[in-house]
Amino acid sequence: MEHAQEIQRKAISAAHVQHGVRPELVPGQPPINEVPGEAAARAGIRASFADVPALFEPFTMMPDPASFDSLINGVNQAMKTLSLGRDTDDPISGDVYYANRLLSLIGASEAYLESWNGGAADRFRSEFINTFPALVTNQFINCAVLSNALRAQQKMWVNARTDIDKIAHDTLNALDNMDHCGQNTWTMTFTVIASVAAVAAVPISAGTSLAALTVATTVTAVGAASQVVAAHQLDPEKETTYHGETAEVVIEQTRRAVMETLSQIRSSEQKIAGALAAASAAMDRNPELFVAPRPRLADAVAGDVLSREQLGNRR
Amino acid sequence: MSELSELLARMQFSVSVAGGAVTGHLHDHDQVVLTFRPGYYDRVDESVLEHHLVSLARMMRAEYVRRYYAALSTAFGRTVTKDPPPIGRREKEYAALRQEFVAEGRSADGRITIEVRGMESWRIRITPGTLGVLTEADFAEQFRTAATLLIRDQFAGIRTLKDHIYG
Repeated sequence: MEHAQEIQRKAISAAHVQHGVRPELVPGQPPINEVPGEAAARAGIRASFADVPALFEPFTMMPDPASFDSLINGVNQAMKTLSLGRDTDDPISGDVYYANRLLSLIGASEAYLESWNGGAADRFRSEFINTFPALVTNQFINCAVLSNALRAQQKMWVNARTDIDKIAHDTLNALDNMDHCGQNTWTMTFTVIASVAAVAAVPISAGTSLAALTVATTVTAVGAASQVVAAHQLDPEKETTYHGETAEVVIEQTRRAVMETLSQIRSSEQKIAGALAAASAAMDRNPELFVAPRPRLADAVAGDVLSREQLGNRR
Repeated sequence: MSELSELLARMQFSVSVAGGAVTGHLHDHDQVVLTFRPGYYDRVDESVLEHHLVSLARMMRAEYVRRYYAALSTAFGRTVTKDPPPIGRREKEYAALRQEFVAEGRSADGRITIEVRGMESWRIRITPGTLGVLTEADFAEQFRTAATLLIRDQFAGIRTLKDHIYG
């Protein structure tokens, strides 16, 4: 906001010079004879730049990127818990998660089942033990989606701060440069959308890939996600060159740059929201990819719990 | 204050011509301090000094432009080495008028005049007999005034030109 007020002051002062209007008296200055129309011209100039503080005002309420750290750490903790140690690098960020040894104990349970015969035992083997690694991997992938969506959001606000700060500094420089002999042009690189594309746009396709998966082909999901990362990283930063030789035009260019930043923030948020919605929809459509079916034993009643279809017998 | 303003305000440099006999030092935007090698001022005549001062003006202008683009590059975070080519109608018109624009500065005693057309073509006139009337220090002071007025006239003229075309 400090920059916004400085921009406004500088623009008004430059416009006074451009239009040959004497600046307003400050207290303590000797009085001047007002030229007819001068006060109106001054008011007109003030009105031309009245919106400048409001242009930058929304950016003072941007979330602190550090506020995402604890959320990201929480999800990453879940990823550590869900890491089987096989194909469980984060498919989006590439971060490595060491295997959680606890998960390997599921394999050891087969030995106990050898002496157990019955429908429940068969289903426990086919629907829980055999599919366990695939389900855990899919859960891991979805946590990666969530983690990277949070990181994308964090990165988006980091870049939004950088970009808006650059716009303010460019404006101040441009207002000071416009009286020089050369053309007063400057180039702004908008980085908000590009930064998010690299980390967050992935899950849309990752989600789609998950939807198409069978439980047995989890590995493919990870591969597909990685490929989509590469595709989305091609999203370039947007460069715009501005030109302004009067205070009015320089500030008009600033308005455009601020609007572009706001538009990129909106698009980025939509991208992140879209990614999360796609991942969530994939889970809704294919819950069996993420959670083992409800054990039939859970619905057994006293009359059939010991039957061959349920608990069965000890071999 | 913008970064560009700070860099330009801090800009100062010296340039010498005539084998180091004449040196100009620019500081505070438009202040030019002229110094001569000992003995030079006593021996030189007006026409040779005019010639040397034109060379000095050209070189100071070139050095200013080089440092100005360096400051611009730092301030905008992107290397700029020259003015973009004029593409639009107004840019072409501005470039053409700027080339014809004449800035002028005159010393307080009227003995020294500096004129530049399009910041390229320089003319410096020293009233005959001046070197016999003014001491070395007085001459430098009169030159400083003329140079300051020229620089200010150039900036004011450019502002007027831009207002005329872009306003």
